[in-house]
Amino acid sequence: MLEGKVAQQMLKLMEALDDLDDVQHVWSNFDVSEQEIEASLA
Amino acid sequence: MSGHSKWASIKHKKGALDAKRGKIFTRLIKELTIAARNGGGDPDMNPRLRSVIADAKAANMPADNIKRAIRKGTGEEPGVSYEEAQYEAYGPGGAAVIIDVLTDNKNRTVGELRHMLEKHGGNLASTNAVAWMFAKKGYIVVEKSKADEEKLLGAVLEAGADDMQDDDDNWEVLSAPEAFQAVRDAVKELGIEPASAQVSMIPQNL
Repeated sequence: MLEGKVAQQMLKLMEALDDLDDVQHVWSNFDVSEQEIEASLA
Repeated sequence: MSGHSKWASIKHKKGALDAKRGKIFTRLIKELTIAARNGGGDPDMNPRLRSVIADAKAANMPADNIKRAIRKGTGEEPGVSYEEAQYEAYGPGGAAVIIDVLTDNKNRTVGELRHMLEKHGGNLASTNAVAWMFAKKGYIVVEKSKADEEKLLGAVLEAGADDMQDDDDNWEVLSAPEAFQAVRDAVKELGIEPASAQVSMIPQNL
């Protein structure tokens, strides 16, 4: 499970990859807490 | 709410944001084009195309846009030719990442991916470095509030699903990619519109 700064970095990376025009899907095996997701949406 | 979450369900939570960006249409148009190019423009003869058309309708794409994207794939209308590719990568902290692309210029795409990964503490991996950690499966998310557990479970198993998992607010239905269409149809026949339905790369460690 990823936590803190690494978790935020990972969520940002997934979003950035997902935003690229050529990218159709991004999959990953990481796992984060609900709090990290809330924090990333804030 | 459970204590943790995996990407497939995070994505679902963030889905509303994606919809606003209008990127869904762009993606679906590319999918339609390449599905028609590879398997022909008749959905009855082309299961992949049939599946993407269902996605496009679920996203409220106008029928004209769907038709035009298919005609571009079959060559009846001029269009850009896309290539499919899959890239593997590591994220910060060593998480495995798989990236599916449809592009008219692989060199540009690889450059963009490399740049994004490095900017966020990740890097591109070699082929098969991480792909073995995933399995391709049909993945359907149904909100619990919309479904009766017994009925849903019965219907999806009958249609060939492998498993139904409890993810707090949702049921997650997993199936072999070949069974995905039938399972999705079975869910819809119950009058349920799944929150998400897609053949996905599911990590084996979760």
